[in-house]
Amino acid sequence: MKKQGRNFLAAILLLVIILTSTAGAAEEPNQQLFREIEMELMCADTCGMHLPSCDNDTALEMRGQIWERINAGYEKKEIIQGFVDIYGIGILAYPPRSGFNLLAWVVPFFGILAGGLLVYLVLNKWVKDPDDCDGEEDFADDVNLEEYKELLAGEQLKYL
Amino acid sequence: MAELGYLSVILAMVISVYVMVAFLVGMKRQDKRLIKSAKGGVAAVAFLVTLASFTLVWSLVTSDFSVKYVASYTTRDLAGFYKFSAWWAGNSGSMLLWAWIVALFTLIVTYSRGHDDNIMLPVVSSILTFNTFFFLAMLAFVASPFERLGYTPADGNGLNPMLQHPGMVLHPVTTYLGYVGFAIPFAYAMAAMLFNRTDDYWIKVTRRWTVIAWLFLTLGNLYGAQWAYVELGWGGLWMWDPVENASFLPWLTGSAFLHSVMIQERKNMLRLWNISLIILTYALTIFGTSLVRSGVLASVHAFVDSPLGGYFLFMTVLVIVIPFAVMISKLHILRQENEFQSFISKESSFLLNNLVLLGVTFATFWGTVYPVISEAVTGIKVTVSVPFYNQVNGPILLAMIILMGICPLIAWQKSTVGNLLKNFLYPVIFTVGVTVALYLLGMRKIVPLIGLTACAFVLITHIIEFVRGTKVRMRMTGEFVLTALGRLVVRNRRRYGGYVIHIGIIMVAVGMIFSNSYTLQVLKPMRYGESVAIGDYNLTYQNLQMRAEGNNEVVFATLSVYKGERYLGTLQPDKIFYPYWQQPRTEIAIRGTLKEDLYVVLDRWENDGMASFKINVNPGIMWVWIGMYVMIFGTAFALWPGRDRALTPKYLRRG
Repeated sequence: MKKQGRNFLAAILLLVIILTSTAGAAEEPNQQLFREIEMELMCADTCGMHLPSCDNDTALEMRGQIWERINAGYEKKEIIQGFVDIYGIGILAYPPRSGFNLLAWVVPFFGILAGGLLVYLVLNKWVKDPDDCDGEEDFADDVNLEEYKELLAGEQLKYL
Repeated sequence: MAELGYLSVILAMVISVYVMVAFLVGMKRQDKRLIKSAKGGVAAVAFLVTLASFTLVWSLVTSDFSVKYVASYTTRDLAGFYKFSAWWAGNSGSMLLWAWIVALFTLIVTYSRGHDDNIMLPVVSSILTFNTFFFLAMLAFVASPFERLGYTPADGNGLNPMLQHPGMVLHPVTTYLGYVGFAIPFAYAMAAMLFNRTDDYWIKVTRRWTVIAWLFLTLGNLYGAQWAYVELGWGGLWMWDPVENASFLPWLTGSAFLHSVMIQERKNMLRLWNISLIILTYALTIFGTSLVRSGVLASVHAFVDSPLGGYFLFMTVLVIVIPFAVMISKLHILRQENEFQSFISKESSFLLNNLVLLGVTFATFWGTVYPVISEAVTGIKVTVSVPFYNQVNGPILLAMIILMGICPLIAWQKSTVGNLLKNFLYPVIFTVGVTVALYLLGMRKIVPLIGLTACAFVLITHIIEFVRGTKVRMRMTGEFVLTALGRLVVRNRRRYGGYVIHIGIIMVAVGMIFSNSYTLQVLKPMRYGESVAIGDYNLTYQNLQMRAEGNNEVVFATLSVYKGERYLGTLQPDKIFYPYWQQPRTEIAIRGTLKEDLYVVLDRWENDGMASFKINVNPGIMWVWIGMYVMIFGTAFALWPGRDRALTPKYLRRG
């Protein structure tokens, strides 16, 4: 069993090595900057596609413009702002983090926090004795064993 | 034939009204003959919708272009397979497919063995038949696939070339099977409330349907991703497009439901919550359909110019308002009396799992509808795409993965801090080891490092579950290790099938983390003989040629591929030009290995042979597909018929 376990772990580590052997490969800085800018923009056409996913003429033209500005030494922010100035904020692939649109970013997390609070309140109501978390150590240790015993008991009922 | 199809739809619609009335009246009067007659009506509806479907397929495969739908989506020389799949290529045809699946599922449920005296069945069949009725009414009055043109064109407009792919044949069918499958637990939940039987009966009866629906929805999503990957040419799997989100939302709530029902089965708790979840899941399937057909949100996947959106939105409201109203009226029987024994228990961890899944659901829903909200409030429509979901859903999905690892380590009923420390020790040591190994191997990006650490944690906790169960079994029965392991998993299929599904999900997650974080890309115009290096690969552009395939013209480039000094062969990306379609279809050349995909797209070219290529090295993609098949295997294993499938243990009572 132990040998099998070791073999399995070795297989997993081998898999990790196989997959990570490209992970360290770096792109040249401009290529990376280009991809970062591309990620933040939508295609200006009416196709509704994220720029990295779009291959129509407008997308190709936009990519050309990004490269021109990168080669001209513009910063990421300036390049993105340039597109916003031309096409409006709808060209961004995300809502701006200001004004009303800040809601887009915070509401999901407030929703989860509210849900978490609800779960806490519910658990507080349902748990028989909330202060009893650290007691009955032996019982708790037995629970997993009980679970397997229970499975076996179920099997015996069916097979014997 | 088209008239026969339309007539079948009308007749099926009328009979479905009779079925609903006869079931309800028969049930009220305890009239078995009337109920039997209604059951016959269910069979008649299924037969008629099958006949309607057959007539549409017949018109498609025989190229009867006098039928508008056939002329719109096929051509004479379209391959037979795609003529058949054109059944669901258009709006009305896809609704007919939906109606057919609901009608067949209703038939199966109504005539299930051992349910002759099931008092809930008339209500269940009525609810399902209402679904069929809705789709038939849409087909009869709003969008009929049997409409004649009034003349017969020489040829049709043709099927969108992008849909001529096996992935696009499988994706809609599997998605619909998933959507419709959730109608069955939904219908049983409604019946359970109406009959005041809110124990776990309805859950047990529908468990297989729920798992099958979940599996098909999973496959629907993954086949969609596969199609996008090999057909759209952008090198990714998931774009967080509104229509993609539409099928992801019920998958999330369906997953939450699959987990929380276990608490009801064991402790008869969470009755209200489970009914809410299945209502929400079913409502989201209809909401998803309304999104695809409404044109409210821009999407590359949506049907265009559809008048159906409003009707589906109405149906969505209906399947939210009425069931929740029934639920509120039944609150007194849905309240629970049992208690949890501890804050730290598997039950509590399932609640957290539900919170996280619902959190992703809410965030995805919010992101999907936010452009409409922002436009309504500020007058400016913003876009919510990949960067938003990566930043908002990313951390929540990470929490979900971590919980997948924690849940198996926590005991049912009660765990203590000491118990947790003991159970978490080896997994945490292993996880830290993997993280250090990843870092030392050159992984410096923090986000994928955290994601992969979480995946490693889940993997090891699941392996430990198999090892621990086998060891206990060996100790208690004296069985040999492989016998113990085999019997452990075969005789507890539901539990270990579930773990296999989790492992499949982790494989998908690992593939997605690698492909999202470590894709290399080069966009390069090249002349004959010119080379480009990307990662370990070196590609040389050999030539550009053209060939004829039937009426289509194919322009293809040949690139020789080397990895270091080793010659790997050639890749031939191409573009296919169809005489009836403005845009050519892009065929991507992929050389896939377990480690990575070399992904080459022929972008455009000049007359002198100069051509632009998009070349990606996408790591880990193969693991997404392997994970998908592991999930299928796990589900089939959990559901395989036999003595073991129904094992749903209750707690042993301690004296």
